[in-house]
Amino acid sequence: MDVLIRIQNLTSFYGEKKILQDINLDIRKNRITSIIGPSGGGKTTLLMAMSGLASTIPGFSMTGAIHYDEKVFSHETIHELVGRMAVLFQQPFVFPLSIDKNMSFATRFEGQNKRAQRQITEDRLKEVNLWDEVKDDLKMKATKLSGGQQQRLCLARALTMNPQLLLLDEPCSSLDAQNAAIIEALLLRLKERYTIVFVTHNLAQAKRISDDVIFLDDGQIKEAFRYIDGYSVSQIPIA
Amino acid sequence: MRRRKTFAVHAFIRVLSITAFIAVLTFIFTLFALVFVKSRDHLNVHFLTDSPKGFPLGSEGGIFPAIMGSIGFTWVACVFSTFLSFMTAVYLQFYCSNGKYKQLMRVVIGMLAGIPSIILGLFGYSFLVVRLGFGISILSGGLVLGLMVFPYMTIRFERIFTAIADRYEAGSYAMGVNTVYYILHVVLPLAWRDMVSTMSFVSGMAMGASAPLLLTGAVFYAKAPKSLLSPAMALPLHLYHLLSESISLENAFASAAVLLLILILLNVLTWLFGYYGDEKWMS
Repeated sequence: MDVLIRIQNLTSFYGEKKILQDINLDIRKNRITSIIGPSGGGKTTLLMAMSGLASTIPGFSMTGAIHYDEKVFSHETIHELVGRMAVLFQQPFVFPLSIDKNMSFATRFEGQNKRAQRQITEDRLKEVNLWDEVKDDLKMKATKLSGGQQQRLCLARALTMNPQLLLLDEPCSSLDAQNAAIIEALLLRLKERYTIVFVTHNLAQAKRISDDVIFLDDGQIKEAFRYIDGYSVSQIPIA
Repeated sequence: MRRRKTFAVHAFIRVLSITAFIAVLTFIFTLFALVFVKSRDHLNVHFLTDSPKGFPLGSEGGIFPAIMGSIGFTWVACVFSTFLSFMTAVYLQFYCSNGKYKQLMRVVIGMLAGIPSIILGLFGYSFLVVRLGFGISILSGGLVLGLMVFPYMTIRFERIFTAIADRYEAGSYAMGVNTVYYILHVVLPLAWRDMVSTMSFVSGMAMGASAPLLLTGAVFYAKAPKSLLSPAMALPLHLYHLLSESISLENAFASAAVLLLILILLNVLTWLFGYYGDEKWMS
């Protein structure tokens, strides 16, 4: 079965408060899975748990397991997930450094040489259609880019980690319609190479780009369905 | 009625803040004007480059050894305090996960800030001067001054790091980097300007302090210091001697003017350093 990440019986808490309850979910490879639902339903927490970043939040605890990359991650080991997959946040998260330094942030840490860093920077910026817009201004501060450009830069920077999985937390919510459309088109293209999990409030957007949709409310998966040719054709087994 | 009341409160706060601003500006301007006007006849190149002369000593000549001494004390204090504060703030922000322990450390640092500086001087005298054998020296005085400004620097550094962490920590770790890399490549490039400005602020504090130096480093007269273990003159204490023993009111004002000029220079350099250094580091 072409499953990249499997979540089994995941229940999570912030302190005493239960946020997610008994989540069972398979994320299929090279598909876009959207997580939709009302605010406070647990969408972001689920994403944070999948990325391991939840372990950095004080008071977070969980039961159950996340299977990824032939390993099983539990509460004790979830922090090891951090950095294994690319995460994109609601607000474009660029460092107030140059575009170049933003792009080489992870590759420098991996010890790649300058030439390799430059090549990866160029390739990834081309992948998100940003290269032509910034190739002459790589020394410019990334914060001077427009919101849409910053979000694409974040995506390109995340891709430098060579992730299998992209976790996107409402990446279009702070963008105008035109830039949101650019990101959507980009994601549809990127799913050929990456598996994408996408949190959104926008049902129309979920319908436009998703293969699988999870409806999360009150910390539980209420519904899961699959889109084929723009129609939700069936309920799918969640796990 | 309600809107009128809100407007009145708003206008009152506005008038109050503008008045406070003008009062502060007037105070600073008056202070500088007073010092520079009173010292205008004595402040010249010879005053800056000569040693104190005349009888009683200091009634003629200049204050060169005191300037060099003050710079020496401040330099040692700044280096020592920056190192200690940086390491403490890094530990508290990035490595200490035990909330109670962190709280305890903050209380201790706060207590240190509340210790009267003369008591720090006493500690410096018994521990550094006598016990460790550093003697009355720039090193002893500088270390005590460093200890005096350490809490202010640490609290400020920690605040700077917290502000950066709130914004950039999760995203940095999401990129798969470790804490050391995050500190070196995100925190330092973003924090260094505020850190330098903090260093400049505490340097001003250290340069103006006199009580901790009374017992540890400063003497009534010495030549310009040649090593860290030399005793030295310090500007605020020299000024104090000139005034308290009625040696020369004019020279006291001229010494005060030099102290203020050094502080102004320090702040201008910090600003220039931050302004021009920023683009270089960030690009």
